[in-house]
Amino acid sequence: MTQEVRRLWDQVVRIYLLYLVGITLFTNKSTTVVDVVYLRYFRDLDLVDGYSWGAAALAHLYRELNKATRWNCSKVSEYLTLLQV
Amino acid sequence: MHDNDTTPIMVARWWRHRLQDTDLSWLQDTSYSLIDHGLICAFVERWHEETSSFHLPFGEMTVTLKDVSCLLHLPIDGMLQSHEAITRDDAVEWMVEYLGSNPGEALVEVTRTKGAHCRFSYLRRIFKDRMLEKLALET
Repeated sequence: MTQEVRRLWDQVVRIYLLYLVGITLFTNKSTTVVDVVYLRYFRDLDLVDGYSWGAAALAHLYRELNKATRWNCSKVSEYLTLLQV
Repeated sequence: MHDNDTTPIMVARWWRHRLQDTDLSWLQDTSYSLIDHGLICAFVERWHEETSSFHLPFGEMTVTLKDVSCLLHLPIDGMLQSHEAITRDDAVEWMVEYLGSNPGEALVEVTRTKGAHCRFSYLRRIFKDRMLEKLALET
């Protein structure tokens, strides 16, 4: 695999991951955009599994619940909330 | 993201391995299509910021790390994520470097979203673009 192809593959994987966390873990009120800041954790794709995604997701959920003075129900918050029932 | 053009990639073995290595691949199968807004609202009303828990008639209840780990199969150990918000300029730079965005397009994204954000529609489009670029290189 040439370097160029490998670079393209890495970019494709990063795009997909950013999209994935944007629509699941780190949803926000706009529901159509994702914060580019999460790219920080995809810089080196071999290190992605070294991060505590669970803790980050929970922190985000708490924060969103705090902010939730109006409609602000992400898929994930639903997912976790149902467990409580 | 899933359509006729991209499906061959999504089922490729290397792709699945690559995603499994990130520990995030479970998220692909994790979402509710049916959301009970009434139920969520009832819970949100009982959320208390000071204790980060729901106050229910029979006591307090909250979502724990263990719940996250059991339900979403995400790693709960490892490095903690910590970051400050980034500027629009940083966002453009990162998109160019890590996603291979065109600088002009990246600038349009941060301007349109009024912050260091980009739209899902944009991500879908460049996902496909990169695939085509890669195919062109191989043939």
